[in-house]
Amino acid sequence: MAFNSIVFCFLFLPIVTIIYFLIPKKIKNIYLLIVSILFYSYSSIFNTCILLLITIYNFFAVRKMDKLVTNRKYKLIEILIINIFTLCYFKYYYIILNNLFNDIAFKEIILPIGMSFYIFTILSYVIDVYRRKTNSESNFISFSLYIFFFPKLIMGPIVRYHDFKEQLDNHDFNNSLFNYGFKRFIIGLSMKVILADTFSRILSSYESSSMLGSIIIIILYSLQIYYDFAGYTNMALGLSNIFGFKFKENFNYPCLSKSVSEFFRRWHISLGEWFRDYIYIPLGGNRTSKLRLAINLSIVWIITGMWHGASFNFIIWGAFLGSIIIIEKLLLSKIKFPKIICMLFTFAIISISWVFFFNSNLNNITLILKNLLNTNHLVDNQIIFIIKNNITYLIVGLICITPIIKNIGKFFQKKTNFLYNCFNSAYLIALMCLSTSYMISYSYQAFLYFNF
Amino acid sequence: MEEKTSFIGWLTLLYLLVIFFINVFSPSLSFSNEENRTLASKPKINFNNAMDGNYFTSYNKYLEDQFWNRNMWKSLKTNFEKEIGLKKIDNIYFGENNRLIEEAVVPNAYFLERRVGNINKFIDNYNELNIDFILIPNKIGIYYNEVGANNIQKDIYHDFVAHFADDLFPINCFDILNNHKNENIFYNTDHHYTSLAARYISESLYDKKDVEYDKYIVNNNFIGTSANKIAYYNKADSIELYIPKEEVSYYLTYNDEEKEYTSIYDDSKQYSYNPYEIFFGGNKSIIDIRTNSENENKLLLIKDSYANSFIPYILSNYREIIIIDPRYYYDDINNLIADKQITDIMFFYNMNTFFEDTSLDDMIENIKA
Repeated sequence: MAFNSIVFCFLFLPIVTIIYFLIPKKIKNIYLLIVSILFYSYSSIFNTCILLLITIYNFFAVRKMDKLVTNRKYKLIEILIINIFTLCYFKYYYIILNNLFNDIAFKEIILPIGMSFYIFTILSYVIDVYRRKTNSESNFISFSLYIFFFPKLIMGPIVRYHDFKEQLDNHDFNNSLFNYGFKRFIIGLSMKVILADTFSRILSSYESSSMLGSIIIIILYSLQIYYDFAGYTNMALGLSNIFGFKFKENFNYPCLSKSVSEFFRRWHISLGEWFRDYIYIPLGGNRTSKLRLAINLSIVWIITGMWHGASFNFIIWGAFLGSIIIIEKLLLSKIKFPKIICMLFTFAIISISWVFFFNSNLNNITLILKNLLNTNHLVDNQIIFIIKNNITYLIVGLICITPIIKNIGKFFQKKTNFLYNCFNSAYLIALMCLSTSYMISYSYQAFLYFNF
Repeated sequence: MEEKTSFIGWLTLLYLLVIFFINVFSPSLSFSNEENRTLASKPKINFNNAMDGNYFTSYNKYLEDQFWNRNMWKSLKTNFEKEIGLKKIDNIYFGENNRLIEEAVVPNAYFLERRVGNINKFIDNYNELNIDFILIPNKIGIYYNEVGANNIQKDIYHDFVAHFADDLFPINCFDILNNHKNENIFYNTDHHYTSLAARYISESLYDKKDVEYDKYIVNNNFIGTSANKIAYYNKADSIELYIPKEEVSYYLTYNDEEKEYTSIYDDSKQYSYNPYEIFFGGNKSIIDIRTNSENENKLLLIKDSYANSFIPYILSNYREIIIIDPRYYYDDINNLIADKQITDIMFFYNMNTFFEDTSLDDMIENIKA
């Protein structure tokens, strides 16, 4: 069930929220677990069975590992291998076989939705228990809720166990958090359905045929993925707030970063920190020789690429960004450029990297990159029309990657809190109605052939 | 958290709940007039479709299709997007004076090659008959400048016509309609041209002068397909008919049925959701019209719905007119041509359908001669 679907917004969410407030406190957690399982089952019950098995295995295996005095390491390795193998099996097995043996038809294996996220969540728990950073959970309900909690189940953020545990026994109703949660949910929903989906439709209607065309395409890639993912994360964090949970931010205006390394400290923060804590630092981190640093970064970034997808373009994407970060750390760290130049340059590099992220077809990648340097063909009529037609979307899209609107809101709130609240509520409800109209419109498919 | 005195959470929850209850209590619809399609009904759950998730996909579709007042929501989005400056939504441009203009269909090389080959085959097959092609431009071919584009449709027309002998295309409809572009030759809300435009085409094709017509207004509140596609209801059209004062008498049959009709107009459709069906009661696979015209020619008219408003003007020119729509007619037309002793064949299409629909190719490829 996607957060931006009708079934979630106009059936699941209102009903689940109302019942949550009506039931006694001591069964709230078990209630959240049940609705989370229902939420996940809505994609397919088979997937739910897999996730239940994984949860049961990890619960008992980690308990056992925690109790061991010797040979903990072997148990750790066993648990890691089983989890990583499960992920790789669903994620890569079919694609690799299919590429190796073109002529044999294999039964397609579909990756259960959210598996990349929940396996990484589990791995962080396993390693934290091994490192004695946290105790193993003895309550199966609590552990299952940690894995299944529906706001973060499908697309993160990847929450660490000790952050979750703290709130598990202590998430009383909090009016301001509740209001804030819905506010975030609406903002996230409109980022997704009004902006990201519009950018996505523009992109699918246009094939680069000039330099300006390619520039617009890469800017739209940046905007689309930002509004898509940050929008989804806003919804996820907002939903968590509604039920009294508070997790760390996953995005921090990444498009304003002054270097690629900074970008990834502000973009999908929970994944970046996961790679930092469980791969980069164990490999030696920053405090090594320059050669070793370059190797470590390469490993981290190639795995990051592979985590995003099984096809070759994600590996190129990871390798491309990894190389830029190596160059930044080894060569550019001592040179100072004006801030605005750094920001624009970073935005350009990141935008170019999305070309690899979005296209698994080599011809498309070359076409876009070639046109980016095509000084013979600066503009084409189609892209001029697209810009004119969507100018408002583009301007709003570019403004909202910065905190300008948020700061204006804060300014007025300081001046007059009551008026601000009234205005803000009206604005958010209007945004919610507008988002509803966009959601319905995508399903509005006039089938008018027979009138011709 | 700075939302202490805010009430947005409760407002939003109320909004979601209200819509939830309206959806639950509003009756299920089986058909959407605006979208002209059957709406999804409630799916039935079983072990297999629950396991693989297909049930939930169908259930989503059902909720979407049965959402309260879908049309109003779509309309809200269209109007909002028009306000923020969009000139084109889906494949429809906003022209001047609320004229809704559908994008031109651009055929690909494969389509063109197949079509040109089939037409050549057809001409060779029936070289003793008189064959004409009438291609009517769409709104985009006449009002292209209102959407700031080049006249792609005219280019497509000229490129296509260049493949054949000149006499295959007896009239250039771009020129005819361009001469009348300030009159009501297209509906604002629909993709069809009007009866007035069809009249101009017929007058030019048959070199008719000084024909007198009676004008009737059939429906003043016509919302056509273009408006329904994007749910933009700013201005309704009126459907006007021009009936020649001196008309031949005729009768007609539909779909090879026995029942005979004495009028090509179906009055029952006058105030229906799609009043354009006043012509022949909508699209039919085959229509046979017999007249008492002095002219003994027998016409086979292969057409789309643009011909519907054209036929009233040509009744006096033929003794018999057989009209087929290849999208619904699947028999071998060779038999039809022989049995009915056809003397003239006319292909009558609007450009967008002509360059998109492949049933014409299927029909020609099915001829066993």
